[in-house]
Amino acid sequence: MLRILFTLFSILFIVGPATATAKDKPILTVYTYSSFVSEWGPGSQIKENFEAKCDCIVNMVSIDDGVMILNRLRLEGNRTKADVILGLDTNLISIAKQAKLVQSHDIVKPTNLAVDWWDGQFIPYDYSYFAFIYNQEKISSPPTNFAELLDNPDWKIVYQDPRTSTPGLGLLLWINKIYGENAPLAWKKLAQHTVTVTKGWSESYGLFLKGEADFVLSYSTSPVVHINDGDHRYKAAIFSDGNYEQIEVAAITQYAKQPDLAKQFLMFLLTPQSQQILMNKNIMYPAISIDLPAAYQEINPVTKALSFSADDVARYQKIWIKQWQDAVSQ
Amino acid sequence: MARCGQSIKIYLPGFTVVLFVSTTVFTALIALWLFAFEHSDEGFYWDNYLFRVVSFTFIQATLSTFISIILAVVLAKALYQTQFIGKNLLIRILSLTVVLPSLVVITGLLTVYGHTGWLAWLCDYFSINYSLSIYGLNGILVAHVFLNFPFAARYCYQSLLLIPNEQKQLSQQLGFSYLQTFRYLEFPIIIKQLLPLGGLIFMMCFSSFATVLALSGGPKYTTIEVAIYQAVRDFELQQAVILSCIQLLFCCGFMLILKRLEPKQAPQLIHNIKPYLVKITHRQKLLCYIVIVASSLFILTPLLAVIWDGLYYFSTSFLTSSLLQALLTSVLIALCSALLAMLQAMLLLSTNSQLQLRGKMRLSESGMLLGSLILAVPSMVLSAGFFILFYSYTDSPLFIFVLMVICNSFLTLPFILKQLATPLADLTKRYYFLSQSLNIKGLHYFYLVEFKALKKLLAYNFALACIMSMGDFGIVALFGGQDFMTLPYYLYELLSHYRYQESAFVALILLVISFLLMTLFEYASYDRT
Repeated sequence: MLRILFTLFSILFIVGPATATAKDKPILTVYTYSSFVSEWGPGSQIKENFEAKCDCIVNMVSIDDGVMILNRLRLEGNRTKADVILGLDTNLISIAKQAKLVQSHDIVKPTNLAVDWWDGQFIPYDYSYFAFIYNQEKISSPPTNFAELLDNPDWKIVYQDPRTSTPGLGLLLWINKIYGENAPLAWKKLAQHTVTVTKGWSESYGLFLKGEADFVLSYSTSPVVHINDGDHRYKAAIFSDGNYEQIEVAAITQYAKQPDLAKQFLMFLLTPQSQQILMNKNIMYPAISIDLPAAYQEINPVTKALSFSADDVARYQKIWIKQWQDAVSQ
Repeated sequence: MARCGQSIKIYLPGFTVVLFVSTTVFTALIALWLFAFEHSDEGFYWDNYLFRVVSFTFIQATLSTFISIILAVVLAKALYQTQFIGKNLLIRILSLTVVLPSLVVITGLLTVYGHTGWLAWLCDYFSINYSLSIYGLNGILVAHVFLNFPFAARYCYQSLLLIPNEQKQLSQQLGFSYLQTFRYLEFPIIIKQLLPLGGLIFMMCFSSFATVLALSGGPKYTTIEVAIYQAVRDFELQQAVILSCIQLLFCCGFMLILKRLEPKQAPQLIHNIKPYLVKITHRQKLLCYIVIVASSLFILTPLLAVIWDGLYYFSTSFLTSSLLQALLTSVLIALCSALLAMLQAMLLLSTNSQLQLRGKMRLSESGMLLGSLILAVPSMVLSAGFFILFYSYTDSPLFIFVLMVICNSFLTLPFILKQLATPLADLTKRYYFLSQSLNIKGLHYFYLVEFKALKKLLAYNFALACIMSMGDFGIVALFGGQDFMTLPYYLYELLSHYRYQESAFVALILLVISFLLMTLFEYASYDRT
């Protein structure tokens, strides 16, 4: 027993120092969310490609999700090591700006930008739309607008809690965009056929695939994954009144030690090479116009994109969450 | 002078541990609080909604605790009165549910009880209308009972085994009825052991979060932990700290109430070489078997569902180096945390036993309560607090490793304490003065008296601590966990990349490793003499 323990220990501590990086090269620290850097995420490939060009070392630090990246930055203040933050969405940038966490990037807006969004401090690197995913073998006449989804009491729906997850927050904004003052009524209708509300996306998507629900809140690009696996059953319901857009963004932090490298990195994210990787691994639409793979051409395109300004999100988010709580708790 | 020296020697080990645990927890809380005040938030607000959340959390946790405990007593009694093939296996499995990550539990339960689950399928086959819904309060209770009842049952069963054989034989000679046996022999022991355990289960249910959310059917039923999580996410740190203080208050309050319910005079427990099987009638035996079969179905089917999913989709391509790395990390963290937890538990308990020997019950109680403190503090709050304290070390994998080991050891400490406290105190009562007169002290005393007598229980607790630490991954949320990919973390990563088949396999591995650890340590502790 002791010997096994000893061996395990030695493995850990020998492997540890071995991965330490060379000291002479500048280090670019990127805070991002964990699935970005994971084995199947785009992180490692982008890191390798950028390191080959920049003669630097990219240190990707993975933190739970976009909100937690922001919180970590707020906790660290001016002591942060982060040069770049990657993985916030447009709903969060107002908080980031108010807390003065980022600086201007001075990058000229590319002419081939595919997403209709540009900002002086954040660059968009990919985007998608929130959508309800269904199995077309079970749902023969899918809803074509939000009202149809809400009015069919037979359809069971699962979504994420806006208090704990980004897609959940997306739904909150989406419903408020469409229904405005009538949002509480919409929530009540939705509550009548909600199976459950989960903490994060993983739980709810799992429930959906298990057959516990007919619809799950996810991304309009989610079917791509299934298509790549040869499974063509899953579709995203595209609504004529619009689907809420989520744009993922990156920025240079206020106290970046390597602002030039950080700027290079942001620009690098917008190259076709990186965009290709992002599209394949992050399963989101590319931010610049490049050819889409076959799987992306098979999925339903979104006809109308909805969004709020970041300031509106910051201003109303809490009120709307409260509204949602009151509407669905009764 | 000699007296003074002796009392320092008695107090020191336990005092050190209590100080270590409570300083760590309170420093994290205070660090967070100071930070929150400095970066002025909106402050605390208390509304109707929050009141509803707190009261629901309390009701839900109380219900879950009582149902778990009552079922545990019933099952333990049934197990204790019967012998059957596979009993040891079943008992070993009883400790596994408590360690599974919430996601695996939800998946397993839904495969069995969900809309399209096995039960629904079975009902459909026999054309019965399946109307049971796993969502809402039902679902929360089912999940909490599933998580806690088997563990409590095993614990209770082990306590029953400690009733001296002579007493059982005597009760039979005296012609005790079934109820009388329960009233005079078993109940006092069960109460002595299960009330403190009830406190633990209450804390676990009180702070349970992902499971509750997923099965609650919507925010109608949310726990205070969700409110805390939300507050941390929204960077309303004051709110988070105050809410966790409320949570702490509730949990400690409940523990103290249970403590008050405990009878002052309790029987002493001993380790029987071979438990004496009480004779029961055929009808009682039948009843026992029904209880055992029903509980086994309840406990085993969701686990079987996890195993089935894992095997069904298995492919050798799943055995990647990252999986092995995650496995290795998990096992290493588990072993280290368990070692540390055992060390802390033994130190604290040695003081505790001495205090009990001297009749200082108040002091002993508060020591034990402080040792269990961490269960009531949400891991998000703890993690944020630690972060403020140690932000400059987040680059060091070794530091994160140590932090994870310490936190996990704290998390498992209450469980070890609860299980070992009574037996150790009883041992001390019995052998302390004898060993003093024979000049057996220190490690020698530990080995000759405590280790020899409680080998099995120690091994079991070590294994339990191991597997509990394997299932947990809360603390790394803020710190960045890529260097320390544990199995549960890996599982989530797989899911977020739509890799459901691999994730099913990882859940299976988690289950198998937990089972193996349990088996391994039980064999290691097997007395061959």
